[in-house]
Amino acid sequence: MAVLVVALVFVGSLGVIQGGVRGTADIHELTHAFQAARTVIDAVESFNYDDLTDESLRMLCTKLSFAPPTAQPILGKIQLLTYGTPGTGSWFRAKTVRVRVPWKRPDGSHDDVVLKGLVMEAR
Amino acid sequence: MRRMSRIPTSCSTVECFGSGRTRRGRVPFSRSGFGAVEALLAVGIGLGILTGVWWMVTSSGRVMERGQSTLESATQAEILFRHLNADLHTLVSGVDISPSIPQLHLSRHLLESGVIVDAEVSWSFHGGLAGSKIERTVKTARGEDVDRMCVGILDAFSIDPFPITTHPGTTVSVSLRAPKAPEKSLYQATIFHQNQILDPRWNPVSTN
Repeated sequence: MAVLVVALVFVGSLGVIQGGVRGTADIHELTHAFQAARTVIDAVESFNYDDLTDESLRMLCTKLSFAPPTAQPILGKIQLLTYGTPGTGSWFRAKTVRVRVPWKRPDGSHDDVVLKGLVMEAR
Repeated sequence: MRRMSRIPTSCSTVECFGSGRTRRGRVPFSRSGFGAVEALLAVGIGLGILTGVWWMVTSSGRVMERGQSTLESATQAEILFRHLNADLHTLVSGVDISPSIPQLHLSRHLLESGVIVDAEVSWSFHGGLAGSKIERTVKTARGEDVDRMCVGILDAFSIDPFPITTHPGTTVSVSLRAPKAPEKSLYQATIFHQNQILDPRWNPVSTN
């Protein structure tokens, strides 16, 4: 009976330990994915407004390398934003890009890191 | 065997497994129907459960220790890249970065109490089992400030210029691990050079 009680206590606490193990094991893959996404966002922001196109960005990203086993980032289409203040002559326009980096948890499930980059002009 | 006879059993148990005599309270083990084989079996099962639990706890502990080491390395890498990011995104215009192992020198703008000042920043990387460290030295007119990062061991590192000249950048990769952990964690990021403080290309507000 005593053995069973001890076993039950330990088995119960195992859940806590294993949760912690999964959490800390995730951080490696997540950090890789996050660094890859941030690198791509940096690449987006290295263009000026006029030069940033889907094709030019894709070409630049082929030159980037990432720490293995990071999956290749997936680039979204460039979205345009414009905003002007009537009567003042002030305007703002921007191109935004959504970058998604899939990453795999140690238990086999998948998740994504998603960041958005922005290049803008304003007056 | 006498000690085990203190196991309280009910009358029905005794009737079922014992000699047939009904008796409340303590029942001698031998009379309860359990022989030496059953006792050994119970002890074996108990030891088996304990061994299994012990194995699970210790293996989880080892995995957790590895996880904590990875967590520590990831945090170190993040601190490193955040600092590099800040340095390489505030470069003084026209300054070329020439990464030379094991050091990286650059000139950057720095905001001190709302005033933009120029600063010389030097990064030095020292790997190896003993005395691994990454140092960042910032020199301004006010003096010199040294930050030391990288708790643990810096197994390997590289600083490479990004190959496309129209998009100058620096790729930094570091392989870190905790002193007692065998696993190395490789982290890598490419940071493109910018001047977010004064250049209107990245800071349109600065033109106002």
